[in-house]
Amino acid sequence: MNHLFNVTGADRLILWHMDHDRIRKTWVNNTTWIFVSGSAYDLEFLSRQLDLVNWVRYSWDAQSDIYGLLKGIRIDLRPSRIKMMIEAIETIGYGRKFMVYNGDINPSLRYLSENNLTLFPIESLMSADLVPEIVTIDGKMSRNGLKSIAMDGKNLDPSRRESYGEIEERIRESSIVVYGNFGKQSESILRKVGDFGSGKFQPRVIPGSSFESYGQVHYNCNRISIPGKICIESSSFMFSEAGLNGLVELSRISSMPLETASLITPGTAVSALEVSYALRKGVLVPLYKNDHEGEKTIREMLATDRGGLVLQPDPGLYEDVHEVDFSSMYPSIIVRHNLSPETLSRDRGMQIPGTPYRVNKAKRGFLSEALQGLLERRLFYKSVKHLNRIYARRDIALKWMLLTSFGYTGYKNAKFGKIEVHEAITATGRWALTRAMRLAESMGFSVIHGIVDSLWITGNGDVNQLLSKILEETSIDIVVDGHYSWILFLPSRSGTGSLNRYIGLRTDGSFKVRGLDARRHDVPEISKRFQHEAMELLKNCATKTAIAEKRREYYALKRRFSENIRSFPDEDFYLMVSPSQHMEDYAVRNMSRIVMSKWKSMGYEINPGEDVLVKVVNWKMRLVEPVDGPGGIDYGFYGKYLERAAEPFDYLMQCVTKSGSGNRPNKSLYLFSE
Amino acid sequence: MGRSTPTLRQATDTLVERFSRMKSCMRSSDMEWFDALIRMGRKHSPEISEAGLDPETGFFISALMEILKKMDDLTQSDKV
Repeated sequence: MNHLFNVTGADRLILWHMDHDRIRKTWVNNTTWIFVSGSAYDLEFLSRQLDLVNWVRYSWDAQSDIYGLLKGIRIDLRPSRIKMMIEAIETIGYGRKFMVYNGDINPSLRYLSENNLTLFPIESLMSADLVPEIVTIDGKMSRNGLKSIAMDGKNLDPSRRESYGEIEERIRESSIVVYGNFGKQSESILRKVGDFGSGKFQPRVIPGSSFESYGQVHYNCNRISIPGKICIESSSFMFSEAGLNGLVELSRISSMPLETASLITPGTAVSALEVSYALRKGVLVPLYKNDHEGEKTIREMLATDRGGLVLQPDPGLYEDVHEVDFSSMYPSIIVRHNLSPETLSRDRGMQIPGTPYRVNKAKRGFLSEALQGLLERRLFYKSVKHLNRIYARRDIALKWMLLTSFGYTGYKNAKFGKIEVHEAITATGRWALTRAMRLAESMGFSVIHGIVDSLWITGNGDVNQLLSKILEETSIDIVVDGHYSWILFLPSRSGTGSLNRYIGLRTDGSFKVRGLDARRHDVPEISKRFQHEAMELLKNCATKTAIAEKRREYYALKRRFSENIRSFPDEDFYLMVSPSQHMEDYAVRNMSRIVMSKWKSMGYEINPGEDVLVKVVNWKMRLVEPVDGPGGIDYGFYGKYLERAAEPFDYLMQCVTKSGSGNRPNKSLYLFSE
Repeated sequence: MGRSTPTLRQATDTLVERFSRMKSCMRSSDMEWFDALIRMGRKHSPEISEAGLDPETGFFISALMEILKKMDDLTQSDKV
């Protein structure tokens, strides 16, 4: 089978095929075109200017964008000349007279879409991925340089020259190089491969950078490029989340080459998918979006510019609880309720609850159509993910794309986004959750908590009947995500229920935990170990009485940890520190600043978003060291982490030991306590 | 990306921060009651947000509702 797995280049594209375990490359001359629309007068003027350039070929044409047919000029040219041509058109039109389409599309994506080709094609959704030979390279750095090398999981001696020859041979045999470079180890390894070997695989290093996403600062480490190889950094977002199968799936459905897919965010992948869909359907893609937010009153803005509905739970322990979840709620709303920039208006179609907008359901919306395939694919892999790890990984990749597909509608530069669509989606989401609540209450349940697309309910009603009724009314799939013997919603510092900190024991004996140390990456292992052991202790306690009976054992466990804290291995006290800004920007001398300052004194610069593993030697003296540095452990400092790790379980014990308190044992927190 | 106005919970936090300045000159015995009132005022944030009320009005409606509920609880227990 001739299997296309990569496309590189621009004016002259290279198509990488796999043909019975052999890699073949074919070269294709690539010409492309852009489309320019504007008033007839301005287009006439532009055409006269184009007549003066002898290498430009153009024709008068009519093509469609998502809103309808446009008359304009199609200019045929090589991809490398598009940027220059657009600059000239903008100069001629004073940057406002012309709208340019199909002007900034990745050449590989465009070639694949216009020729209806797919990367990593599979015969059916259940088929396995056909991936070329892969080599994995990683290692560890010490202060004196390379400490160890691991190639395909095998350890090599960094001091032996032959090791680098062995690596070069494996790179030669492989098409994909997966490398870890958070400590710059692979840079170091591959430079030596380049120096000691034939020099054919000399790496090119692209410097890393910090970036912010959803309020969190991340760091992309230095990237490596090797001529003729697909290089994937192992800590890149999608690879670390969904593995190679997830990345291949992303490449397959977004038409982005594998290496590019490993570098982009899921949001950019969704954008690529939409652009690819538009090209396959013959719909023009605007260079700059011209879909500005419509005028609205301040009252309208306050009413519509809102997110999902999040209820306020009463903190406490609840028994026999069902968690019901809308499946891919926001993408389902886009698809099933036909939300797209061109279907939304204020005067035509069905009213969207809680907004001044209406949706025209007579015509299929572009966004809704483009995301339908993605949604159906994800719901399929979600239903079969338990069968095979490949499906589970594909499901993760698609889940991330769907998650960002909604947010992308509100992004100012999204090609097919519009803020009103974003508002209509959240409004419909709030309406759906409220309908689900009402139906649950009318069918014998009481609602404990709700977060955007999930509800926690308890009662004697028929859950399956409830789900059918909700699906019937909202047109959004809904499933039981968990049946809990008990679930504990924790109090926040203010005493009200915390929205996203809870621990629940499912009827199958597994726990669902959110917001606890056991799931955090910025706490020492000892905190996690304590919480895991506490959960292990409680895993067979399906009732309040059973939990109460474990009270003594729990307090014994707590004592064992605090009294024997010195007996735990040093690794249990290592802390992951991820500064969110530059050292100079910290106003107080907190952990991040102390660590950055310490590393700077050792000659290393820590970038915002970069993770560093440290140990606290003496917190009073603000003494923090690298994990292989001098000094012991400040057990007093870590004791406070242990106390914090025990708080949720202390609260659980407090809940089960209060007599006659029903589902809300914490009534003392309220004004009129019994 | 997405919304540009603060959520009602964020607006209520600012309001509570303003109210909490009262605590500095409050008797210790009153502080507990004050904290309880704040908790009650926060309780119905989602509904207040849905109605588009201003945070201050919403806060007091929420607190009044919770006080009514507690009064009802007490009346019920008296009947028993």
